Amino acid sequence: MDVVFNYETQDVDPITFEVIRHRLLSITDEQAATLAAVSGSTLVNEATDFNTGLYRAFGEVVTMGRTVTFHAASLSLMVKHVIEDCAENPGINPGDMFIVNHPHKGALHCPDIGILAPIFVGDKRIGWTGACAHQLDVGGMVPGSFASMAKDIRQEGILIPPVKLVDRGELRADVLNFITGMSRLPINISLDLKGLMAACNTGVKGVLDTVAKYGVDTVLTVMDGMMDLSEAKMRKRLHELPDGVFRAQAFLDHDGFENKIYKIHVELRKQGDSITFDYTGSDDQAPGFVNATRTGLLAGIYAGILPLIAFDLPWNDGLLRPLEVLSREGSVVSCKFPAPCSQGPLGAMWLVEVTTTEAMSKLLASHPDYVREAQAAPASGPDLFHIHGKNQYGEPATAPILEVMLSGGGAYAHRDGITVSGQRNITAGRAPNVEATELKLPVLYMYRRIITDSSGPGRNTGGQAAGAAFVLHDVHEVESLVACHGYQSPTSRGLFGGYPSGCNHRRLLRNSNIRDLMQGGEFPDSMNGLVGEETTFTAKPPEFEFAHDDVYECNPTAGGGWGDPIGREPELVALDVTGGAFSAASAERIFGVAVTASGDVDEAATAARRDAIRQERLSWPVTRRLQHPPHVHGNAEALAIVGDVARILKLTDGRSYFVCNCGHVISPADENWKDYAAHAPATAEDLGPRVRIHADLEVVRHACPGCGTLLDVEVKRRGEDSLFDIEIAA
Amino acid sequence: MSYIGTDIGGTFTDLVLLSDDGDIRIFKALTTPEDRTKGVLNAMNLAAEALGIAPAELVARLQYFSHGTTAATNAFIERKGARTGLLTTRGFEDTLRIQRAMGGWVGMAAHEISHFSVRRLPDPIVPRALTEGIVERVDYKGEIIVPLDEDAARASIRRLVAQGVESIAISLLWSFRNMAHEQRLAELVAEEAPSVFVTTSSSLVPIIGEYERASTTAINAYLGPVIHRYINGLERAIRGHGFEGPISIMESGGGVLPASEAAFQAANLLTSGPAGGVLASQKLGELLGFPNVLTADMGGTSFDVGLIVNGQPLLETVREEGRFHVALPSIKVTAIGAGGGSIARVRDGHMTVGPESAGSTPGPACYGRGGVEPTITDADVVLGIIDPKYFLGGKMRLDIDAAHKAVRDHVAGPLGMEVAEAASGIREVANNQMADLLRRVTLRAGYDPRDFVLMAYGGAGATHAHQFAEAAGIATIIIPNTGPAHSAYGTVTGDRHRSFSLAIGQHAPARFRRASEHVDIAKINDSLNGLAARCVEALGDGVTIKRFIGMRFRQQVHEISVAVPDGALDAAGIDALVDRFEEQYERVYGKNTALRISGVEFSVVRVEGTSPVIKPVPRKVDGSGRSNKPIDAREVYFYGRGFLSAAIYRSEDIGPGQPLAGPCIIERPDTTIVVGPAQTAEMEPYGNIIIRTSQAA
Repeated sequence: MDVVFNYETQDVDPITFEVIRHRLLSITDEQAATLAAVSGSTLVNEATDFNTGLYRAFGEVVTMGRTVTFHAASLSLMVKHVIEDCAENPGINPGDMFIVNHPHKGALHCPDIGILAPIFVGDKRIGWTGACAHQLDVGGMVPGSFASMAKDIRQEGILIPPVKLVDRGELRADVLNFITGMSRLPINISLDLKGLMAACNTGVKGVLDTVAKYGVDTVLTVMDGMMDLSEAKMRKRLHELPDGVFRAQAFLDHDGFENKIYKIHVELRKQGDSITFDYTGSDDQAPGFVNATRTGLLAGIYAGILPLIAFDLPWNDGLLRPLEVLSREGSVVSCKFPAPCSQGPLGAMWLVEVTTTEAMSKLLASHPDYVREAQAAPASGPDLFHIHGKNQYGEPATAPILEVMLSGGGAYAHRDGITVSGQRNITAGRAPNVEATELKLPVLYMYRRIITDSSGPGRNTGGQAAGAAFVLHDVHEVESLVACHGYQSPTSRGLFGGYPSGCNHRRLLRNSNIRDLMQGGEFPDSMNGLVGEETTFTAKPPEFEFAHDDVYECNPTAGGGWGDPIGREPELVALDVTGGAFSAASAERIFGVAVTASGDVDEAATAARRDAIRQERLSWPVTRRLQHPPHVHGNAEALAIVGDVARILKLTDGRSYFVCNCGHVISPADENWKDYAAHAPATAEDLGPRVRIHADLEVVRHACPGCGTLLDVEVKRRGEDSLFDIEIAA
Repeated sequence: MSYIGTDIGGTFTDLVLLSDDGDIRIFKALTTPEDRTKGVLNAMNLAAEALGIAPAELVARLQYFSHGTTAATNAFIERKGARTGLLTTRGFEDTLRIQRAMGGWVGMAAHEISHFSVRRLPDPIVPRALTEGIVERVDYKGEIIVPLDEDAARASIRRLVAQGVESIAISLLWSFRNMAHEQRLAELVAEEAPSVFVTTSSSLVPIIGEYERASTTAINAYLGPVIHRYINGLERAIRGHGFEGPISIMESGGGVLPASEAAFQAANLLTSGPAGGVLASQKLGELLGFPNVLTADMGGTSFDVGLIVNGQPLLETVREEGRFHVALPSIKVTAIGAGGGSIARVRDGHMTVGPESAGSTPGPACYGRGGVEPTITDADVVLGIIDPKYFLGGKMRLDIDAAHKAVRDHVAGPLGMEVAEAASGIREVANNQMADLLRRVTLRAGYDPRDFVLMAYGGAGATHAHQFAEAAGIATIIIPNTGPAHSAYGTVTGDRHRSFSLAIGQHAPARFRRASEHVDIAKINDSLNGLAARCVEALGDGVTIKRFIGMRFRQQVHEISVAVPDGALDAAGIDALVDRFEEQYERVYGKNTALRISGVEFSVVRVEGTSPVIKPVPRKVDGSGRSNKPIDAREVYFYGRGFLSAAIYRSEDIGPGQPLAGPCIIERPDTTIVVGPAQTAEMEPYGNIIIRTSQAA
C-alpha cells in the first residue's frame, strides 16, 4: 500500500499560489511563537536556539524558520530517519509524533531534541512538520551535556533514535518520563518538549486548515512549486557565476585532550548550475568532543550559504538541490559512531560554516553583481563558558554565561563588519543584560565593553566584539567549564588582504587582590593594576574551580577584515583610534596611519609609513616569476573579478591570467597565484596584539609584486603549500 | 461648550470637535512640517468657519483641548533630538553600542534581516564621546559596592557641558534597586548646569535590564528639550487665543498627559498616534457593547493591528522604536508594510505585494504624480471599488487609465491575465497577508480572532476589511464614523492617565510551599501605596487606581502583569496572586505550561491612574429624512466572482436600522466602505456602519 498521497498537479494561478505561500510561512512563524511561548526558556527565547518548519512527505524542506540556521538541515534529516526507522514498526500514523536527538539520525548533538509530526489527508501522508530546540541538559557525564572528557558519544547524554512519543493523538507518558528522567533539569526539558509538541500541533492544524480551504492537490502543488521556484532561481544565479574551484581551510585547535590542530578543508567546485562542497580534504576525526557528524557538516554548509547566495530567495529544499556534499566518513567533519560530538556545533561544524562562507564568498566575489554579498569571516571561535554550582540564593545553578553572543561580524566590500553583531548563524539573537545574568548567577561584572583591537583590520574592518570580566559575588566558588577553538589559531579570516580578527582571550587571575580593593570601596573596570597568579589556559582546559578571590576575563573573537589595511582612509583610522576600535599602535603598524594624541592624522608620517610598508612588501621574495608577461590591453576580456583587488583576464596570447587591479600580471590563471606573489611570514605581533599562532600553524602574507598591495593573509599548516584558493580558468 | 482633539499625521492634521449636544465633527488641514502648530490652528480655523463663528469665539466656547503629535517620533527617527550626554556606570559605557547584540538587525524589515550585506548599525542616540563612565557600583541587592565618586562625576558633567550638551541621561547599573547614586548625580547636574534637561532611569523606567533602561532614558533625554519647545509653542498659540482650560497630550500607554508633563515623558509620546486609534476603538467598543475588539488601521504604507480584550487594550512592556528599545508600558500595535501604496511586482512568474510602498510621493500610479508601478489603491480603482471622481470626496481626481496601465504592464501582462483578474489578485494577496497578521496577533496573545469584532479605519481600512476580516474568520466589522480622524477622536475621548512602576525583586524559591512565606509583603504594600500616591499627586483626587504586579516563573522569560485587588495585601492575598498568575500564564501560553516548582518572581509593581475628562456622549443619528437609497450602481469586481453590479450609497443618505445587502459600496468623503457579496451592512444608532460577514452565525 502506498502511504504517501499522490496528488494531481493543479494549474494554480499565481494569486492563490502567493496566498498559500504566505500562509505556509505564517504557519511556520506561528510554530516558532508557540514554541517560544510554551518553553519560556532563555535559550529558546533569547538565543533563539531552535527551529521549526514544514516538510513534504519525505522530509523535503518547504519552509524553515529564520532562527538558528544550523537546525535547518537537522529537522529534514530527522524526518528521513523517522521514516527509515519507524515506517515498518511501530508505524507512522495520523496523530503520531516522533522524538529524536541522535546525532547520527539528524540531530547536531545530543542537547538538540527534535519532535516531528506526520501530516495525513485520509490515510495518506502529505507531509511533516517539526520543531527542535537546544536543551539545557540531557544527562551524560557533565551538567549541560558538553562533556570535554568524553571519549564516546554514549557518555555525552541520552541518545534517542526516532521514538514514537505520541501515538494517534495519545501522549506516551512512559516515553516522556523516560526521556525527561535522564535530564538534570527534568522540568525545564518537559516544558520544552511540550513546546515542541505544541509547535507541531500548530503546524499540523495550520496545514490541514489550508488544505480544507484550498484542496489538498492545490496545497501540495504550491508546496512543490515553492521548492521548484527556489531551485530554478538558485540554478539561475549559479549559472550567472563563473565556473571555477574555490578552496578554503580553517584550523581547529585542541580536541579536548590534546592541543592538536585539525584541518577543516573545503574545495568548492562550481560548474554550470550546480555546486559541489568537497570536504574530503579535512583531517581525521578527533578523540574528543569537537567532531561534527555528517548532519553537522550539512548544517554548517547550509548555514554558510543561505544568507550569502540565497539572501533574497525563499529558504527551502529547492536551494539545496543543486548542491552535492562530499566527505570522508571518519573525518572531523563526518565522524563515525561512537566518536563524541557534543561540542561539534561550536567546533568542527562552526568551522564548516566558516570555510563554506569563505569559499562561497570567493565565488560570489568573482562576479560584479554579487561581490557585495561576499563577506569576510564572522567571529569564528565561540567560547563556551558554563558554570555549575550553587547560586547566590543557595539554589543549584547550571548555566552558560552568554557573553559568547557579543561577537563581531565580517567585513564586506562596501562596509565594515557589524560591531557586536551576534553570531552569524543566529539570524536575530539577543545577549542577556548584565543585570539579568547577575540576578540569576553569582557573578559581579567588572566591565562589559567593546574590545580594542579585537577585530580584523582591513580597508573595511571586521566588527568588534565586546568582552567582560567578573568576580564571584555572594558565593565562595563554582565549577567552570570553558571550551573554544580560535585560541591559538586565527579562524576569523579576512578576505582579499584583510586581516584575521584577534583570537579568543581568557585570563584567570587566581588569589588576586580584588577583595582587598573592594574592601576599600574600589572595583576596577579592567584587569590593569590587579595582582594575582596568572593561569595558563589552553583552548579546552579541564573543568576548573572559579574561586572567591579569582578574577576571570573573556574577550571573544570578532569579524575578519576586507582588503589591504593600508588602503583604509586615514581619517577613518583616526576615528577608529579615538573611538576605541583600534589602538594607536595597531593604526601605525598595520594601517600605516600615525594618529596624534589629539586624535588627528599626522599626514606626513602616515604617507611615509604607508610608503615604507609598500616598499617592504615589494622586497618580499617571489617563488616564481612570469618570464614573458603578456601585455594588458584596456579591452582585455575579463572572465571574472577577484573581489575588488584583481581580475581574471584573457590576454593577447589567448591564455587567462590573474591580474592585479594595478595592471600587474601576477600569474597564469590555472596556476596558484600565490606562487607568483611577493610573500612573507607574519608573526602574531604583525597581525595585532590579540593574535596567537599555534606551533603547527603559520601565517603568510601575499602581496602583488607590482604594487605592493596586500592580497591575502593566509593561515596554513606549517610546511604545507599555500592554498590555491581561487581557480578560475577558461 | 466644546471639546477638541487634534492629531498630527504625516499628511493631515486632524481635528475632532465634540459639542455638548453630542455632535461630532471632523476637520482636516494639511500638516505643516516647518511649524506643526500652524496646521493645528488652520484646522481650528476650518472648524470655526464651519460653525460660522470667529476663531476667537470657538476658543471662548472651548472646554478642553487635547493633542496627539508625531513630533517625538519625527525627531527621533530623523535623529534631530537634543545634543545629549550619558552618565553610566564605569565599565559599561558601551551598553548602548552593544545593544545586547541586536544592533545589526533591530528595527529592520524581515527581508533585510535575512540579507546580511544590507544590515547596518543604527545611528546613535548618544555618541560615545558624550558618554561618561561614573565611578560607582551597586549590586543585585541594591547594596553599594563602590560609593559614588562625586568629584570625578562633577568633572564628567563639566566635560559634557563643555561639549555643549543640552540634555543628560543618567542610567546606572542596578539603579532600580537603589536610586541614591542616580539621584545624587541629578543633583550634581543641577548644580553644575542648572539649565540642562535631565532624565534619570530610576524615575522614568525602574525595571531590570540596563540596556533597555539606558535606551529609554537616553531617548527621553534626547527628546525632552524638543518636546518642551514644541509644547510651549503649541500652548502659546492656543492660550494666545484666550483659552484657559486644560491642555492634554496623547501618550502611548493608554491615555493623555497634562501638557506640562509631556517633556518629562517625551519617550512616552513615541507611538501615541497608533495608540490613539486603539483608545478611540476602546471607547467606541464600550459605547457599542463590544469588549473584545481587534483594531485594523490601514493607511498608505502600513497595516497596524491592536487588540482590546475585556475592554482593556493589550499593552507591551518593551518595544522597538527608531532601532532602539523603549521599555515603557504602551499599547501594543503590530505593523506590517501593507497599505494602499504597497507595490505589486512579478518576478519569474511569481507575484508579491509589498512591503515596498509607493508612499505618498510618487504614490499610486492613479495619483498621477509619476508612480508607474501598480499599488493596492490602483487595483481598487481598476476594479470599480474606488470611484476616481470621488476620492477624498472628489477633492482629488484619480487617473484610472494610469492605474489600468500600471496593472496591465506590471502584473496582468507578465502573468498572462486579464487586467481585472490581476487587480483583484493584488487585493487577494494583500488581504490575505493582513488576515495572516490578524491571526498572528490574536493567537500570540492567547486568543482566537473569531472571538473578536474588527474595527477598521485609516484611509484604506474600510475598503479592504470586508475581505481580510472574512479571511481571518471574523463575523463583525465596525467602520467607525470617526475613522478618518480616529486617533484625534482617541485624544479627545482618552482619559488622563499616568503609569508608575517600581522593581521590587521579590521571589519565592524553587519548590516553595507558599509564596507569602518568602516575600516581603510590607515592602510590596509600601511600593504599591507609594506609586498610588504618585498617581493621586499627578491626577488629583478623582483618580481611579489600578494596581498590577509583574510576575514570572524563575528561569523563564515571560512576564505577566497580574491585577492586584484593592486594599492592603496580606499573606492570603499574595498566595492568591500566584494562583491568578498561574491561571493567566496558562491562558496565554497553554495548559500545563506553568512552572510553579521552579519558583516565582514578583519583579515589578505597576500602578495606573486614570481620571476621566468629562465629555459629552455622542449623539444618535436622526435617520428621518435620509433616503436610504443608492445614488448609483456600478460594476465592481470581486475576487473569485468577477464583475457584479453593486449599489453605491453615500453615507449621508443612510440612516440607522436599514440593512443594506452586499455587494454594495458606501462612499464617505474619507474612505470607501465595501460590503462583500455574502455580507450585509447596517448603520447603528450612533452612525457607525456594522458589516456582518458570511462568518456570522
